[in-house]
Amino acid sequence: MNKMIGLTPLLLATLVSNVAAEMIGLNESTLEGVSGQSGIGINIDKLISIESITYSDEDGTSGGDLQIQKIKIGNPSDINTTAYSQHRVDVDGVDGLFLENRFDATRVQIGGISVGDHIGSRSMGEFIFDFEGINTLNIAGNTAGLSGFLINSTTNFTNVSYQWNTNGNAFRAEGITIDNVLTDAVFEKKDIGGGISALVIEMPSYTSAITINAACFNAAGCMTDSLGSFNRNIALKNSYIQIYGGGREGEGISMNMHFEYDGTSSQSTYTDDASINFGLISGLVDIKGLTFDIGTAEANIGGHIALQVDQVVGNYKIGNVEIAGTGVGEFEAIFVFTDGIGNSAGYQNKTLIAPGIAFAGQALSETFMTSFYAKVNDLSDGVSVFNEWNMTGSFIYTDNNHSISMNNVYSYGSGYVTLDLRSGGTQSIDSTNGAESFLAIGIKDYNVNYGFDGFVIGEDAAAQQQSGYELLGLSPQASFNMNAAIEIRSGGANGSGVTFDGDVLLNNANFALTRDSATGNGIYLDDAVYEFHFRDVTFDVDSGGIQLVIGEMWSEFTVNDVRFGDSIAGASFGGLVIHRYQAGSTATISGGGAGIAKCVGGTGTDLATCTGNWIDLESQGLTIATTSILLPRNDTKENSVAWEANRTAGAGTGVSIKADNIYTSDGYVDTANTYGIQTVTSIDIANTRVLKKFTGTDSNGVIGNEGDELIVDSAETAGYKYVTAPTDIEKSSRGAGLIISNNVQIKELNIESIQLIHPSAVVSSNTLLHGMKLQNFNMSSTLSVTPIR
Amino acid sequence: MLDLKYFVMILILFSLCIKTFALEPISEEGLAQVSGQNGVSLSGELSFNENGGPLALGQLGNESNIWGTCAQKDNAGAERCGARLAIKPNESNGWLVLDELTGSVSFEGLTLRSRDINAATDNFGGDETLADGKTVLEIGLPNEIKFDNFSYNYATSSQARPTDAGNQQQVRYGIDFNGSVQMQGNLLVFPTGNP
Repeated sequence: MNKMIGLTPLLLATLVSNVAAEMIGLNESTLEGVSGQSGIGINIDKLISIESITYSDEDGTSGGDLQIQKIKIGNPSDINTTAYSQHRVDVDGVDGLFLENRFDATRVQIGGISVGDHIGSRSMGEFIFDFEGINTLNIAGNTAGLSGFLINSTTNFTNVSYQWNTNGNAFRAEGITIDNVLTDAVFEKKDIGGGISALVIEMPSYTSAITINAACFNAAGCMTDSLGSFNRNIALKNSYIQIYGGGREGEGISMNMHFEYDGTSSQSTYTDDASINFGLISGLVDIKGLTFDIGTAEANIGGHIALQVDQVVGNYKIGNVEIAGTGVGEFEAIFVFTDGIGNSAGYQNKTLIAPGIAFAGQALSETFMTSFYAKVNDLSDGVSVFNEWNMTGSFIYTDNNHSISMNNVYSYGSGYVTLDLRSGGTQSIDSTNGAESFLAIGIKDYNVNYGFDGFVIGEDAAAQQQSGYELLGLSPQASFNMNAAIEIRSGGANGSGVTFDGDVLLNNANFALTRDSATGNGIYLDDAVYEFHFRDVTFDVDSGGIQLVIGEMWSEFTVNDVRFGDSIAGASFGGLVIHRYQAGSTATISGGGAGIAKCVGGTGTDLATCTGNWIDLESQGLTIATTSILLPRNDTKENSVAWEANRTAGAGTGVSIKADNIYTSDGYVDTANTYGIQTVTSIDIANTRVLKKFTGTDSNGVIGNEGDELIVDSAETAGYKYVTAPTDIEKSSRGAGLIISNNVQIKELNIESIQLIHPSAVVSSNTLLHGMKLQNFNMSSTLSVTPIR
Repeated sequence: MLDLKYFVMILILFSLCIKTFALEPISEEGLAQVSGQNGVSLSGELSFNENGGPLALGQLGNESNIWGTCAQKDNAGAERCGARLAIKPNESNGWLVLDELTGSVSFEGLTLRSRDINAATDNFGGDETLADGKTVLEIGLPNEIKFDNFSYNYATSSQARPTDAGNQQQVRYGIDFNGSVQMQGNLLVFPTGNP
């Protein structure tokens, strides 16, 4: 998808130059502008207005119309005045056709894009693209003996801005520069097999650099509240695009693509007060059978643009992730998107895009969703998307040359998303919000399924699959149905950044706590419903890292059955109800792990002298610091945990034990509550000591005595051996483990009461304990996580 | 999102607290059944209030220098530096207190995983018949747990907080523990009865 975005300015630039070339009449005044030493020079004052352009793949049995409406090209200061450009056209027998297009400030404006039955009633909104700069295009014959045309092109645009308007509100990205270079691309018609003749564009080298200075929800410009700035460089090599006729159904357009990143110069950076940098991007992506059709028959979104792909295969590696200048490590995704079966249903990889807001004004099963969509109507502009996917893959994180792989990941699902722009408290899910505009994202019946087998830590032969995800708060298998109303505003807690509000409901949910990937048996939270609400959550990046501040959040998580064994039929432990209520909580995510070497469970200052487990946590890693301010009960909002069992007819008919009204305070009175629960967790991968647990043969057939130490040795069949008294050299060959360093500090945590609740008893509840108070708690832990052998 | 890590931390603390239960040592044959494809082996160290906690001298409410760092406590500059858990069993009257908790605990090879029990092949000293055919949460106890200056007091107190006006507290006994505890065997957790 990144490549599509990257190519868009190039295609747009080409389109603009083509439009200009086609639309000019060479009248006398224009011809007066001809200048130059060779070829022909043309100066153009252009003002172009097109009522609509319609693309149709309607063939009698399938397809429909895509209409681009009210296209105008003119001056950004007033679209009804002319924009100036200068063009030089040169042709000779050596260099072929050379076009140089110099644009003064120019605006391309699209009044609306609509599809099929929506044409005339609602559109995707208005799009405005302003730019100035130079585009060159050189078309020559290919090297002697080779077919096709040789294309070289450069685009250097500055003062670019992009704006999307719906219903009187704007999203704007400004201060954009675009610098693209296409070198020695070959355009030719070619047989690509299967009886298909395609236009093939081979790109031995393509570079694209884009900088976005600011983005916001204000048509007047991003003066103070910006989402932040962004820049991205892509260098592609040995890539190609094949384009041929015919869509998924009847007429349409099909494409195959291959993109290969040059790992030295591809990077992306998001900058607020400090930056998150994704550098040294490498890898390749193969896309087969991407089709473009106009569809008509989607039950909720109606007429639509249909993008579908047969297969996307790739590996995408970010060689260096830094937060505020500190290294986190490298990330790699290996993935295959292809048609598949999930939970007895077929899933394809497709995205359907329609104009308007599909669920506007509808009465929906969730009250908050009805309210969210009541703020717009079925004539409102916006974008509605239906998405369906099926993927498998693996994700790998590497920290100081030690890696952890999330193995055999799968994900499939489908659902709807709507996007539109709104403004003011009356259009917001939080009426206390101000007059500013915001992006409103509706997520409707998004059915999500994912899972993975486990982690493999280390790349040596001793590495084997394990869990450990539990300690990171990850579920190894989950499925849920999601409905959500989310608002995004520009500006964070300090200056630029992002502010979120949202109401989210996950139902029909099943989460694995831990599971055996071979049998599928494990411990599951079944028939779960998770409803959570958040207000004024800010996202900033400063010198300390990624800063999240939660204005207020409250949630209810109900689990009908905690199951042991099968995910939906295993023996039940009873049900859980967990309420959470916080305000002013924070989280800071920073690069770098715990960063200190220590002798865990012993004494000593280095590997040789440590009597326990010497763990050397090098510079890279990830650290998350949180402050959770738990508030006392306020009406229905509370912090509590209840376990119910012995039910006779479902939830609420059994006996519950409930830790009621849990809240933090500052240690001396209940009313001061600023400290909360403070945690600092660092995640690293490092070599760690593993002692044999019993005398005899382990699960991999390796023999040793209880207390022997595991030493990695590639000469051994299992990749490791057990050594009774390892030398210092052998100690340096300990296997890799996931290292989780944690500190928790609490001034005061209160539980108002522990209650036994009998639903049918005369007395509705009995108080078991009349209060618990934990004070001055400060616990540090270092855990190394390795496989069971 | 679901704070599963707290669930695991509770399990670890729970498994460290059950040392008084009668546990059957697992045989080597039983352990040989362990397959290495899932689950997790944990080694590490938990330390409590090594230098003190977040309640400190100079805070509003701590005018009597009740809370301070452990160095201040050693120099008689503060009364206490450990963690404190107070529980009120009755609506009126006082509190039961686990007080001045400090020190550290380390272990190697605590295992956690889900496991399907087959009484025909698994050997838990006869207990396997209770869980035959069931999936259990198996907590494999580490062979050795080391305690380093692990200490706490058990006390009764008239108020929840030591800084509350009129608080009176009586220490019933104190524990200061250095050394190792041998812990072998597995703890199997599985549901029974009516959910």
